[in-house]
Amino acid sequence: MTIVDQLKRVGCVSEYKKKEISDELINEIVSAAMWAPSAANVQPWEIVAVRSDEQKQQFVGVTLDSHLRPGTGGDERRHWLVDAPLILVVCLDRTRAKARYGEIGEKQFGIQDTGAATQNIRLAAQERGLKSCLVREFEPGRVAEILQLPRHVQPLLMITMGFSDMEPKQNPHLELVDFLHHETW
Amino acid sequence: MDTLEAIHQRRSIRSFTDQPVPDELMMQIIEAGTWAATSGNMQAWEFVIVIDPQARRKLVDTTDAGITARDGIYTQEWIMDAPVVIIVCYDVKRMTARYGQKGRKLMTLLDCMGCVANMLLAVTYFGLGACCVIGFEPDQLKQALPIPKELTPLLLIPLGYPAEQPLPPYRLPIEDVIRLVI
Repeated sequence: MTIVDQLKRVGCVSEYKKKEISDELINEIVSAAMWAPSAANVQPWEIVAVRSDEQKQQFVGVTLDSHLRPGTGGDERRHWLVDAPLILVVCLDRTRAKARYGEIGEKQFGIQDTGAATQNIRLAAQERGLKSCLVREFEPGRVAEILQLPRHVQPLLMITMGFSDMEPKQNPHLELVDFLHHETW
Repeated sequence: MDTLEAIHQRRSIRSFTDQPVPDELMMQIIEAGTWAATSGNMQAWEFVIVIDPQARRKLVDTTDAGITARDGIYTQEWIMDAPVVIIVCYDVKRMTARYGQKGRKLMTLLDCMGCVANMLLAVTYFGLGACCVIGFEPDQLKQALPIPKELTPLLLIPLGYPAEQPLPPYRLPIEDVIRLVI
């Protein structure tokens, strides 16, 4: 299967089988982050692997609804998080991201790098038969508390992961002509 | 005081008065440290400031007087008189990410020493006194004080107003240390 075929299959699947994910498999999947591009090679990602039911339950309590509002049913909508065998919380080491370039390193390059690392991880997971989904609608401060993150580490997103027979939903896509420009806008 | 004066007047001070160190000066000293040369601008240094006497006691208990130990006292008790101790630490991941194994140790340590040298010059400039202390157990220190796990303590800098004015020690003349001019 070509890389583009693989990419087409990376989509959100949020119903998983109970099958657990081993340490070894986590190591293999997360290692893929190492090959993401990184401005100044600072590799600013930090990843917390969560398999504890208690923490997953806590995550549900700090999710937001689809308009990023707390306490408006977000809790129920995200209840499936508890059933995800693995949640990888992708974080940014803000100091490492910022050291070389200052603010832009943290606010722009660091976010780009962690985004690329995230996609690498999802592709590596897919290659091993796992399905995944991104969750970004949560209160970062509360997630930081749950994970006991130090002040300089910011949670950016969660990748939920597990084995599943479901196929990702096909979302509508912009056509190429909608976003590809040649030479000028 | 110009730069060369500060370089020549810096002494290792191990005896302090009771006068506290103003926060403002402490911050300027640390800021001077952060202007040191640093590989790839990765700025591996981080600082833990110890002011509380009980914390200082725990810190001193992890020190080792080495060959200067006398009368059965093996810790560097003089540090107890310093109103402030700055623990110069590093986050090994910053330099290692960019430079690999050479960054992990060598480049990180070189950067931190440049930082410390700057700090000591700033200390001299402000009329304060300090001394570099390497005689301590970093692992024990991390257990004794709540130092974040991603930091490695490298050096202690006890800091205060000097209660001594040591005479300059001997320095090798430069003709003895310049081995070769090609």
